Amino acid sequence: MIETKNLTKVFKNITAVKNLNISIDEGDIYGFIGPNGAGKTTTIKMLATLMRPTSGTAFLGGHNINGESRQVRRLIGYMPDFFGVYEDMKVSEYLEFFAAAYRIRGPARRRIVKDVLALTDLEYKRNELVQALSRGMQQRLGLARVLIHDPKVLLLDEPASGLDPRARIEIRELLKELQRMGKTILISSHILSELGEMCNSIGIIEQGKLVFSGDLETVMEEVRGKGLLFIRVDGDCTEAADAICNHRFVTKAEVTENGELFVQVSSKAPNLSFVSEALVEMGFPILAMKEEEVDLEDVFMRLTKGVVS
Amino acid sequence: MDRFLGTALLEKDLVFYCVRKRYYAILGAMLGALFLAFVIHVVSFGDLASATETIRQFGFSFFAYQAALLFLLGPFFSANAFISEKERNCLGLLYLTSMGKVGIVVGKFLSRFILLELFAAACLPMAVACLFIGGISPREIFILFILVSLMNLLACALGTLLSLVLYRTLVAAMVTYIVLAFLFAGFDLKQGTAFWQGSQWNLWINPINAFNQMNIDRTFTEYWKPMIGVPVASLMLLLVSYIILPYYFGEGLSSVKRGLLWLQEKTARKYRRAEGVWDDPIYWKYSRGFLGQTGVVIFVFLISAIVYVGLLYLIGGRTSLLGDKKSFFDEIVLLSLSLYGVFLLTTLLASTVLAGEKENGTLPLLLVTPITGRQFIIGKVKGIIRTSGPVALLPIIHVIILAVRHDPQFKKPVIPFGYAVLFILLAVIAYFFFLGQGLYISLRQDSARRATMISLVVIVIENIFFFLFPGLNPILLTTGLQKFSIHMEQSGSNDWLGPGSILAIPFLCLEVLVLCLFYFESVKWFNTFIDRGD
Repeated sequence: MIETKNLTKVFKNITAVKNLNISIDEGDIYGFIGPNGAGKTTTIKMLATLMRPTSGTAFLGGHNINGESRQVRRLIGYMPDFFGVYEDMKVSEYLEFFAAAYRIRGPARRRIVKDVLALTDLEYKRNELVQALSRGMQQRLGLARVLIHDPKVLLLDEPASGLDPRARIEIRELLKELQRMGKTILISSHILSELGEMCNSIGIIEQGKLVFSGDLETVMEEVRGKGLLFIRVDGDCTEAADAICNHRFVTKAEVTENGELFVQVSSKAPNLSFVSEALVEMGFPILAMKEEEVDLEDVFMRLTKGVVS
Repeated sequence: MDRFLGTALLEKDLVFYCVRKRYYAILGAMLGALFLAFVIHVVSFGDLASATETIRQFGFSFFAYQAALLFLLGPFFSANAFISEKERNCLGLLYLTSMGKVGIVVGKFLSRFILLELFAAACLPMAVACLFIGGISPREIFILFILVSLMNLLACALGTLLSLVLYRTLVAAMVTYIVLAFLFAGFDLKQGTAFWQGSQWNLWINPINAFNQMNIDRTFTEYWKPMIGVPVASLMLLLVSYIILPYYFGEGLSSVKRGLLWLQEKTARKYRRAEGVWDDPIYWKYSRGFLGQTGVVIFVFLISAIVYVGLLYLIGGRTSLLGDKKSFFDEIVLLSLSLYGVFLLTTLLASTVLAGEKENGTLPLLLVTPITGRQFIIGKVKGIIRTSGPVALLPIIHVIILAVRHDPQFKKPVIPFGYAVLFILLAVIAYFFFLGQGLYISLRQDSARRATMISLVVIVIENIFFFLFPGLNPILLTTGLQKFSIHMEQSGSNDWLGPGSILAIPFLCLEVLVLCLFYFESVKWFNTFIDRGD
């Protein structure tokens, strides 16, 4: 549904996005992650046809952003990281205005407004002024606006920023619901734990370059290997680390600050049991052993260096 | 003392002004205007004997010009005093500091007042130059400077108070302009049969009137004392600001906002009922927004104008606009001034149209909709016309009444109908020119406040032409209109295309051309984001 080909954007001396190649299938929720200034917003703006790429291009639903922006706009719902609202309008008026801007006329417009208000659970606020809504409500209103013309692709730039935990969970559930409705969603966020729960694929960008793009499981496995183990042995940990690191299924072995032995097991290993067997055979009886859970934050921290362009 | 003067706030705001290039641009424009006026007056001396009187005339006019320019800038600077803090949610933070209410009000007021005084002081060397030629004494220059400062005092105090009560800089500035315009409009209170006719009462009722009369008569004798009322009034306005400041955090001022929203809601109801309005959502949105504070301001202005004139008539006074007819020239000057007010309103409204969307962050949301540049610009233009149109009708109705009643005393006979048609045609072109100018400024700026400020600078620059090149003015057709009218008055309708007036024709064509350019440039700007070479 979304495919970028060597997408590049240069601002004077700064390359905000460099040869970006991502591919997002229909119905995916694609988490777009990166440090501040990595190029996420620039990429989303280019996909939304609001910014012309310096070179390269992108296709949304088969339409080129460089020559078919009208068709692309019909296809997308765009929610910027900072979006304004017309504060002196009522909630229903705000949505009716954008419906009219999308040339939705007559009874259809009223019906659609009613539907999106129901979907975003804002029906009871329809006669409230937009300025009277809380931040979370305004974000939901933003999502309602995005859905007003029933787009196939949603480009959401930090939709959950600044929200309290409840509002974030509500937004997350709403996005899952939209995925069930067949929408393709590209979402950038800093709240990685939540992205991990709803995304089925991710892209990690740093300094404008794509560090990783693909299935969430794949990247997890890449980082985790078969498993990450923390082991307490009876004996010198350093010697144990030196001994086990030569094993063909061990990719990394080191001593942690707590004096524990950290072992990363290769994804080629059949299981994790060989580690304990090998250590015992080498003369390091095991006192305790636990497997570390890997989440998206670990993935992000291991794949990025924390630099910005 | 620091606490009383709000020194920290004063420094913050003054430093903010002093590092911004646009304030130097404004100062440059003012100095340019006054310097050109000075040069033209000096080089126009026939002989040295007549120079003394010319310089005296110029000396007074200089300060009148300066006061007019500062009156244009003062409300705008002061109208954002508190609104800028409210928009950034910083007013509460200031309130919690040890600065206190006095410090906040005085700091905000003083920063604006000092800025205007700096502007006024920067123009002093030119005024002092008059001393070398003669005709005006140092004492007179000093008093004139003090009187201009008093006018600044009033503009800043009024703007500061309104900035506290209202929620948009433009609206607060417009209300300040309207109040000051009302005070200026009092300059003909002498007419009629009221008990104050020709007495000091007239001046004490409206001290600004005294400033006006002083410039006309070029003497201080009976006029400077009533101006003591100006600082007294300013202090009272500041006192009111001090008293109501805490209400901003309570229910008091919120109820003002709620009241405005309620009024807006009442008047906007019909828009939701009518289905057809949705065919043009941009126009709908603008009209909906207009029915808020701006609409209320214009509504209050019209009602106040009617009440004001009605009361004057009841007690035997007259305003010049509806009073006894004097000469055709007086009528035209008033018409030009009222039209100028309309043009000012139109430019300011237009200058916020696109910059406001950018500032609010709503522009990207509109750019990704199927709305085209033409639809967007036309929708906005229709909205502005709807807003300023009713006000623009006033001078046009006036000129039609003039033409039909044939009241003006022409030296030679003219065709009133032809004159009215000509006036309206030129006024309409000028109106659209100002609208286009505001739009163009708006699309080049990212902040509504900056856009309106630049509009004001442009208007100040245009004022240079207003005062210096009447009749040949390419932009301010109001002066072109005056030139036409004076020419008609002197030579009759069959000969109105005199050498001065005929030059206005190419300028008129140029103006239409520039207007078209503004339009196409605005549409193109919007479309560069949308079409991008489709």
